[in-house]
Amino acid sequence: MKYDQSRMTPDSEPASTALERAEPTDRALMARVRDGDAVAFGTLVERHSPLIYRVAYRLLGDAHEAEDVVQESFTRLWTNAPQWHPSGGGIGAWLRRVGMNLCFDRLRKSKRIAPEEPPEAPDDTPRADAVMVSDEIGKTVDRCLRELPERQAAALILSYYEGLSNAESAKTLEMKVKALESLLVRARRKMRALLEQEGVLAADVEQLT
Amino acid sequence: MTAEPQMTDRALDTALAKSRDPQVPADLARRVTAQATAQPQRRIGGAFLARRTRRSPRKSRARRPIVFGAIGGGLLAASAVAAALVSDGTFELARITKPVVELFVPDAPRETVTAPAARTAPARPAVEVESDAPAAGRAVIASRPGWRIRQLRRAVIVRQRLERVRQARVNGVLPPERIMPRRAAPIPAARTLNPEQRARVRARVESLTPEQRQRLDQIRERRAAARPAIRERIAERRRDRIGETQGVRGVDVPTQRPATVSPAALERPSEMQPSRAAPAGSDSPAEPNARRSMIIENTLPGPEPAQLDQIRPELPAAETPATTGARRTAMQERIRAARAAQRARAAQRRNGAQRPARPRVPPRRR
Repeated sequence: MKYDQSRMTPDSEPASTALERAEPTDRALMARVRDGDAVAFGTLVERHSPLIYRVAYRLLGDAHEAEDVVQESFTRLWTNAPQWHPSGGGIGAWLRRVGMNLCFDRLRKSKRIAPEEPPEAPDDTPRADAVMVSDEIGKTVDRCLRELPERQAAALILSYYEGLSNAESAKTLEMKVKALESLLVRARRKMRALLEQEGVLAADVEQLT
Repeated sequence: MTAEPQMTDRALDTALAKSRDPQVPADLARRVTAQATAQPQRRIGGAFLARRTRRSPRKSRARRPIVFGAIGGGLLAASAVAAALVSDGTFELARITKPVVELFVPDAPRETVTAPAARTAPARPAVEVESDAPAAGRAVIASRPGWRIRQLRRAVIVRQRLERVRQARVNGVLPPERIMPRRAAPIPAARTLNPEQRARVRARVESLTPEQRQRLDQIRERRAAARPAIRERIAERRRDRIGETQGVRGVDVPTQRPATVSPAALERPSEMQPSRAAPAGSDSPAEPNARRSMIIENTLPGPEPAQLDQIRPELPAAETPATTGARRTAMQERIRAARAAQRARAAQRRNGAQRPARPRVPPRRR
């Protein structure tokens, strides 16, 4: 029996197919999840859960709350998988939107004060003062992020920390790109004012660079 | 004194970069997968709902063709039915062009269109109406003796008024109107009773109780207060009309009758073409004094119900005041017995054994 190797060799097949075989796309995974494939669902979770966790953590400021948001988002994906159809921005955008709405719901239900964090142990490493100042600025930034209005904070997190394009961020927040740009401008202005209120000055930040 | 440097965009970007990314728990994906897959997936039941989850292009949807097809099919079916009815003769299209009133008139006059005459010929009526209306009109006029006189008098009055207006236009002054006095109708002869009737009336009056006699006196006084001429005239007209009506229906009309005509009844129109058939209520021609039946017949209208007691003939000879009193007493007894029986039934219903005993409710414990 002669085997046609010219057609079946990996070199002859398209690059996208080879890539899909190595790393299946979200659409292919969702097609399997719709049939109840838990392995495909695990792959989707590993692919998309870090982003949702980070966004939820920055918005909510609590690891447990962020885990709950991730858990609820993927539970909804699993239960509603039979009704899913491939359209729009894909499963990633859908998950980001669901996670963001869950975060907004939790923020509206309880406007919490950021929990008191335990005092840190003294650090004796060299340039410890610079590290301490950097950490202090980072914590202040996190605190000011949580004091921003929720949509401004979400726009800032998606665009700056998660590196999404303005179009993707706008789709996640269900708004137009122009509106997102305006939101980002207002968010930066508000963030600057909050940092100045907290005593973070431009000279302190520039010393770290 | 130097001002503090403000937070610039570059400094803001640097400050934002100092915020560390949160560490994602290592087993988060495993835990999330385990908990989510433990939940059942929400399957959609039913073929119709399952089909809706898949999007189909709008052009391929068969919604509009079905709607338009249904409307077109309905129109086709309706037009086919209408064509069948018209060709069958059930609907006459020519009726649409005729006046609608003809559809509701039971015996519409038929029109006979004659051939168009020559222009030099004398003018002739183009349409000839075949109807028995003139004959009916003559009969009605004949049944009203004073109608023609009244019409002539009214015509004279109108002519006088027109003349006055014409003179006023010529002279500029309106002359006074001449009012023609109405001629008084001749007073008819007084009513007379024969000896037999007088004896019967006298016997009836003598057998009255004191209360009835007192009431009779009151009625006589009240009637004496009215003008006898008017009363007699009204009675005369009344008698004439009833006599005409009953004479046509085959009832023997007595010449003299008590004049107890109510003026209100005289105002009702009863001048209609009488029917030749005998009324259904009369048993036979040999019994002229039978009371007229109240059954509504399919004949032309006779006298009004208010006149029925007037056209009732005299009571039979056996109807004396004594028998009338006995009948009234018997009727009162029957009514009394019926009321007593009704009361007894009501009492039995209230206190009867059929009624279930009221259940005893134990007192509430506190």
